[in-house]
This record gives sequence, C-alpha cells and structure tokens, in this order.
Amino acid sequence: MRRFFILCFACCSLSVGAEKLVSAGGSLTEIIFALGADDQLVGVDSSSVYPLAAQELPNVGYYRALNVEGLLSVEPQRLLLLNGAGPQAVLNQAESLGLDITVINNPKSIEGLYITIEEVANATHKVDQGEQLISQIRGALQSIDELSSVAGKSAVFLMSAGERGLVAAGENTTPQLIFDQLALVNPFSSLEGFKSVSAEVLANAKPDIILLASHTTGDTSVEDLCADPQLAIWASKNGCQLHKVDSLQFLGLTPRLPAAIEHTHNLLVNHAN
Amino acid sequence: MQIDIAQWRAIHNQRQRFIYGWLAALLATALVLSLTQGAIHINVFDSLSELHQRVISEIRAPRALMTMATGAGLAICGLVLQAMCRNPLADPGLVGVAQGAALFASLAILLSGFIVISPLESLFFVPTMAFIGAAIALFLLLVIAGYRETMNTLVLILTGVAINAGAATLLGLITFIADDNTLRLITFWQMGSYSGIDWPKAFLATAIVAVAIGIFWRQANAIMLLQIGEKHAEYQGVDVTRLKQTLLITVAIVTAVSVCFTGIVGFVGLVVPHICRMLAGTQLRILLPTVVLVGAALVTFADVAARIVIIPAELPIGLLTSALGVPFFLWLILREKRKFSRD
Repeated sequence: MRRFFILCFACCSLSVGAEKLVSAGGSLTEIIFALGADDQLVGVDSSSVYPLAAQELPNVGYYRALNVEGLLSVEPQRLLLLNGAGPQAVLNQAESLGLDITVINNPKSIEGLYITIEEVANATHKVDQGEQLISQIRGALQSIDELSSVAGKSAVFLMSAGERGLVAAGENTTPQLIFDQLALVNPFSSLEGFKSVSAEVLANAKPDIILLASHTTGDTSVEDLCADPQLAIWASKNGCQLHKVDSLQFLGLTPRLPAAIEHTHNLLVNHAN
Repeated sequence: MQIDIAQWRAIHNQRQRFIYGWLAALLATALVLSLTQGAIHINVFDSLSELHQRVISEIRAPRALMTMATGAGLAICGLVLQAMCRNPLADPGLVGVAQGAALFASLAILLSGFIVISPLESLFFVPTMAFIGAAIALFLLLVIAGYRETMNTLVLILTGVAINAGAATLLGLITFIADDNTLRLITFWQMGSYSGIDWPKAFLATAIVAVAIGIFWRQANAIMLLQIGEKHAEYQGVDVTRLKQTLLITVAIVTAVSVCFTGIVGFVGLVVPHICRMLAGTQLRILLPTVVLVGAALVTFADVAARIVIIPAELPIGLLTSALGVPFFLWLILREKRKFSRD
C-alpha cells in the first residue's frame, strides 16, 4: 500500500517525460521560468540571476567554468547548456557518467530568440507553452511597431560611466538590437561589443538619451552622474537625459526584450515632450 | 655536554626521518581527503554505488594525482630557481614562462570564438597553445639571457621581468578585443582550476615532474655549490653555464606542463621552499624531498578546499594559493627589509 502511494506521488509530481535539469546560461534559465518549467530545475549557474527564484536554487558555478562533481551533486538527469559552456573536458566526464547534455545556441537576434525558446520548450517538454510564449513576444513587438515613431533619434547605452571612463555598447549587443527595433541611431554602432569611448566623442555625438546599466552605478543619483566630468559636457548641451535601466533586462536576449524596447520608446517620447 | 660527530649525525638523521614521516602522513591525509571529499557526499565505509565508484576513480583520483604532481613540481622549481638565482623571492613566474603560457592560452580562448573547432580539438587547443606560449617564452629567455655564452643571473632575472611585461601588454590587448564572456573565461583560466583533469593528463604531468625531480636530485651537490657562488662552483669543477641551462630548461618544462592543464596556481613555488627551510633547514639534499612532500600536500589541500567551500560551485584554486601566498610574500619582504637595514 505504501509503495502504491509513493508511486502515485511520483506520478503526480513529475509530468510525463519531465527530467531533472541543470540550466547553465542566464537566458536559458529565464526562458525555463517563462515556460513554467522551473519545477524541473535542480540547479542553475551563476549567470542565472533572473527571476529572483533562480537565485534560490543550488548554484553550480559559472557556465563556462563548470565542475563535474558540482553538477552531479544536485542529481540532474539532463544539462541544458548555453553554447560555450564548459570546459569541454568536464562535459565529456559528465556525459560519460550518464548525464544527457543539450547545448543551445546563444540567441543573437529576435529570430534566434524564437529558436532558442523552441529548443528549450522541446527539452523541457513544454512545447505548447513555448508556442504561446513566442506568439506573446511577436504580439508585444507588433504592438510596439504601432506606437508613435521615434526613428532617427539617437541613443547610447553605457555599461559604466565614472572616474574610470565610459564603456559604451556597440554592434552585436542587446542594447544595439533594441535600438535597431526602434530605428534609433547609436553613435557607437561601429564598435564591436562593449568598448571604452571618450567623453569628447560622446559630447560631440549629442545623443538624445543615455541609458546606463543600473548595476554599475549603485545609489549615485542621476544628477550626480550628470555632474561627472565624463558626462558634464554632454549634459550641459542636452540636459541630463540620463536614465538608469535594469541591467538584466537590457543586457540579455530574453522574453523580456519587448518590455525593454517599450521602456526605451517611452523614455524617448517623454524626452520629446 | 659535548657530543661527537657520530652522535650528532644520529640525532640529525632521527630528526630528518621524523620530519619525512610527519610530512608523508600529511600528504597521505591530503590524498585521503582528496578522494573522499567533494560536492557529492560519499561514505567510503558503505558499499559504494557504481556512480560513486566512478566519481572516485575517474574524477577524484586523477585530480589528486595531478594536484600532487604539479604541487611538487612547482614547489621544487621554486626551490631550484631560488638557489640558482640566489634570490629568496624567485619562483617559476619570475622567468616569464607562466605568463607566456597565460598569453597564448588567452589567445586560444579568444580565437575559439572566431574559428570553428570540434569538441575533441577544443580539449587540446588551449593546453597546446599554453604550452607553445611557455616554449616561446623559454626560447626568448635563452636567446636573450645568453644560451651559448655565460649566463648571468641578473640578466636572466631582468629578461624574465621583460618577458613578463611584454606578455602582460599583449594580454592587455587581448583583453581589449575580447567580449565580456571571453574576458571572464580568460580571468577564470588565469586563476587556475583542476576541474576536468583525467588520467592521461595526470600521468603526463606526473612523469615529467618525476623526471625533473630526478634531474634536480642528481645535480643537488652542484646546485649547493652554485648557491654558495658561481666562482666557487667553477673552482669545484662545476660547469656552471651548462648546469644553469639544464636547470632552467627543466624548470620551464615543468612550469609549462603544470600551467597548460590547470592555469596559473600562484605562489606555490615561492611559499613552499620557505616553509620547508623553516622545517628542515637549508641543506638541499634534505630540502628537495621536503619541498616535494609539502608542495604536493599544500596544493592537494588547497584543491580540496576549493571543491568544498562553495558546494556545488568551485572556487578557483589560484585564489586560495594566492590568499596564502600574498601575506607570506609580504612578510618575507618585510623580513628581508629588516635584515637589510641591520646590515
């Protein structure tokens, strides 16, 4: 009788085909939560910081510096890894010890994000929820297209601003993708990734708004930041149109992309008014 | 009370045996901890499941062998360099070989983002590039410091400093080009890790370190004479230049093999010889085995700590060895400073 109850409990607690997963890669973890498959997670890597519930799961280390015993200790059946996870020797050891490994490409575009969601949905047996999530994102992006146009305005995303100089987002970054969706001009789009830029070039480019990653500024107020010599010339010409934004939302290509685009749009519209 | 030379020798041998015995027990403890402690709780007194057996035999055992081999190797290289350069602050990082390996490993990590390589190739790409970097640094060292002529110790140290500076500059350039993820990977590599070590790598490192220990043991008397002074060694019939070349190449190969598989495990070569001098005195024949035992035990203990401090994640081992090494290094400098001001 006891065995019967245990069996019933096991059947109820796990949906058909669901496996215990370790997710290594912040965007994968966020998609897993968005699909409602987080009950399958038994561990995440240190880049998985959103949603907050992900931080309560066992942390198996950074996704590119995993260790096999740490992975095995949370007793997963499958590892869901972002492309580039490793080291390869650790993955080989994990595979030889019986763990299934699924590697998913890091999305670089909106189409790539849809493919990633599909792959994660297949791996977590949440195919219907995956389709729903994709159509939700498509719908959200379409409704952004219908908003008033801010095309041609200029914007800059700064990873950091302060005494150590400015670090701006260029090509192949999520902020650039957000700017492209709104047809905004990024004066640093010719740079690859995040690079140091000079205060002179920023002042000369006169961007309408500057978005600043919130995790790098702490409690410093926007006014104090605008008074910093690195930003003071730009702020004196344009007014202090500096906005702290949620770093996680603007730095990863995740289901929260439409929200980030809409937020940027609203900031520009408010600036125009 | 007067004791004759035979009594003194007997007391000395007894003390020596006591130290070796104590250190062997310490190493055995480190080995047992290395095999029994980790992210997975394994009770070795129970019957082991197949998974637990494989974790011990395929993950922990090669890792323990690697930590012991590279710990012993880096420590003995530090001892030999300190003797050769007659400088208590010398360690394998001083001659630029580790930094050369770090530069090329970082280049390999950067290139991995641009070129398509299979998973099998990626297993060997970074270690091979690290070894090439170490070999180039060694080649430059020998060419600049003078392979064919007399090798001046001061020139050798300055060449090492120059190679380190050059490698650091190029590393800065790679850092500038690399994206955030690659940057983080380069940083992790430089902090060292024994994760992913398997038997072939552990056997290779052990074999090379064993040969190196053999070479150093054979040359121990000559190294002792060199330690007193180059002229003195020459008058005693030692081919000083040849000896230095042999020692330098051996040190560089051991450093390269250690660094290419595990990244930079800092301060072992500096700290261990000094700990051993405090324990066993300065006689090289006694110091060599002592350094081997302490180096092996220290790195193995550090690796165990790295594995269990933040389960299920792992701390980079270089952080732990540096956390121990930096205060010790500062203490050493202060002690030298005090000695200097007394003179």
